[in-house]
Amino acid sequence: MAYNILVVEDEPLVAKRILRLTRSILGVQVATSQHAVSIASAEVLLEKQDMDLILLDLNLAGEDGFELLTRFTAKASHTIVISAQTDRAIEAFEYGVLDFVAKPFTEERLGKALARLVGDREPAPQQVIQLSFETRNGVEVVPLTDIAFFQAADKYSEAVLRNGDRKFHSKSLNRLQDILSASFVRSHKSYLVRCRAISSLKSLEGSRYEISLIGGDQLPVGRTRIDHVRRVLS
Amino acid sequence: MIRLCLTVLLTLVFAKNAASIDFIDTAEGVQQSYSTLSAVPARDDPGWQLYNDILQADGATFWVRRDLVLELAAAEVMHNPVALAMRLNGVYDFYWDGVLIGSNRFQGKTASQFSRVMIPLSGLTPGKHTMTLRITALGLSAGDDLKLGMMVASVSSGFLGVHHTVISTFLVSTAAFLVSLYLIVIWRTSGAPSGIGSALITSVAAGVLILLAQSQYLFSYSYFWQPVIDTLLPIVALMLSLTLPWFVFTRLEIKRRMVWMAITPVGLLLTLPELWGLEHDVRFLVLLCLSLLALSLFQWRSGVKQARFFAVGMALALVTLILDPIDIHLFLAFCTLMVAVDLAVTIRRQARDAFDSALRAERLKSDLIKRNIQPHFLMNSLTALMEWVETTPKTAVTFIYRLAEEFRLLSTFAERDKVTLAEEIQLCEAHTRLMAMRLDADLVFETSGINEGMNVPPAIFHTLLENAFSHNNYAGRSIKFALEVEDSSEGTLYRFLCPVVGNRLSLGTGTGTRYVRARLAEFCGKAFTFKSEQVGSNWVTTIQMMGVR
Repeated sequence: MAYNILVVEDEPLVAKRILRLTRSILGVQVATSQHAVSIASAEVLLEKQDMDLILLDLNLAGEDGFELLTRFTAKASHTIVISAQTDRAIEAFEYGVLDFVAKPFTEERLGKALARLVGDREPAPQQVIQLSFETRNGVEVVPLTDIAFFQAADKYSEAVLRNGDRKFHSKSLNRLQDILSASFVRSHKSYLVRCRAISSLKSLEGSRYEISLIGGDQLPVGRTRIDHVRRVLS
Repeated sequence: MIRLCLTVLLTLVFAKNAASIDFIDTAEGVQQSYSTLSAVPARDDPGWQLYNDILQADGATFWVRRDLVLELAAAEVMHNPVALAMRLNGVYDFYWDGVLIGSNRFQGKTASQFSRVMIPLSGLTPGKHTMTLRITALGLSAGDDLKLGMMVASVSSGFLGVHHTVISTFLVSTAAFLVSLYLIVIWRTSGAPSGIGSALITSVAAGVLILLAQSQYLFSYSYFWQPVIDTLLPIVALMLSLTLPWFVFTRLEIKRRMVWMAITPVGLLLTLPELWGLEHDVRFLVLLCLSLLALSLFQWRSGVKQARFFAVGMALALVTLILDPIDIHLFLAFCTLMVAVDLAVTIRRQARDAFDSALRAERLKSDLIKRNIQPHFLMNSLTALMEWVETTPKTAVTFIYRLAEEFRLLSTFAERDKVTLAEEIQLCEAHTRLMAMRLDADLVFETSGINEGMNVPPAIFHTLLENAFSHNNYAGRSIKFALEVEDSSEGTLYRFLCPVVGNRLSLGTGTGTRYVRARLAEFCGKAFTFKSEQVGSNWVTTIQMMGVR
């Protein structure tokens, strides 16, 4: 698979280093790699092209680091933070970034972070606690415990909250699964369910299975995923 | 504990004996006679007249007679002689039923107001007795008050056989002298806070005044000294009436203190007329307290810190005069405590301010050191350096050299509270060169109107420059920073201009600005102004340091 990569970094030399090392690590897996020096220029590039990964500096000139974090983790792309602000690492993981790379960084360290993108993952040091959602008015942050399950919606997804509300998320179900695997289970190709929201697993006629949620919803379980679901629930 | 029990027991025994005796004056009352006889004048001597306690001639010798009836309770028998406490200005011989039984004239020639006379047991028979005194009013003038008084000693003793005046005199004079010692210690250990001299004289004068005024109650001195004491008393009182207002004026930051000192002579003159039967000194002190109270209230309104303390203090001083208008012990004690408390509070505040200032200075030093190693600057520099090491090592060497240059300058700044403008500009130029490499930009730091020998707080313009880099993206651009300096009669005006890139207007509100303000406050107190705003395409910081040229 080839990846489209965007580097959001205001220091030209640091950006140059990130791009150079990324190309060196991923090689032909890099489809495109681009550089933005500000949020505005990053937004322009994201409008034009779907990105698979954003390599984000949290200290862009004049920008608020918290705003950057919530804004970019709500995007469809995965985010890896590359920053000197190591005190924000835990916060970054809580928002669902793939990794946090402290500056200055070596090729090995960046390689380890990029490995999370290509599937060779080590567990994240901190569980995701909240998710950012892009809304008409900007970004809304929702605690993960408020979400019952995600449902695939074309190449995006829709979060169904415990109170019945639905919220659109730009990430695909696969990308959400990448960052939420510690507390969610992929029960079906179209569903990603919070483990603690499941009340029971039922066997139906014709070798079909179904999970019941605490709120009363019934969701199908894929035949190829039943063992995985059983393992997670046990 | 045993000693305490014995003391209580003895007190009760003596109190019982005293309570059972009752002297009753006869209808004749107290008589006086200015007879020149050396023996007791006969009862029918025509010179006897009703006693009025006022001396009729300078240093006169005269007789005083008093008839008493001694009554004992039923079935009471006297077992002990009775001590009489005598109060008198003058020397005397004491006759009981015509027999000389006591004197303060021959036995040591004392002038003690509270001498004692022992009536022998043989003279304490129930019934009528005559007490006669031959008084010589040495040192007194015609019209003076003799203050003659007499009572059973155990009754006149207020506490465990000690007269209350002795106790209060002891306590108040001791307090005044302890305050004086405390003020001397303050003087030696805390430098010389304003008003310490007048405070010291006030407290010493209060202690001396009390001892002099009460000396007749306390000491057994020759009557020769009484005129000397009478001369010293007004001198010490005058000293106190000058130093107390001077101290208050000093503490209230009154500008023309010498003019205000007219309050003492004017007050003394104004209080000459008799009023409400009060002594002249009390009338004067009331007027003085009222004037100082009014002045304190005025200064309070004008925002002088100490004024509230003195307004309350002077109001309370007035209360002490009302409570104790005779001895004014309470007033004197209160005044000495007031000056001591005021100075103690001031010194404590000064010590706290000094501590805070030292702490602030240390914090600023640590801020400057942190600035050297702040993550954003340092880590981005190291990341850039890594890139150059791996791609163009020669550039890396140049960058390391420039980084070292900036760190070297900053480290020399860390322990200083001021640097020359030349050094500050050198630091700014070094930072500009470093950032030009990192941002691949054409950066220039221009100056105008510079007097290189001028002193400024360390790293303030460097901080403003850093702020500019933190809030703007100058990467790949051609940017010119400018520092303009103007001298005027009011001081020096600095204008620092940096171009604004993008539309962020938060420059000048963060930690960097707080550091600059704190450094300016440390450097020139409140004598500076600081303004930071966007003017056109530039962010302009204007600093005026008043009186600093």
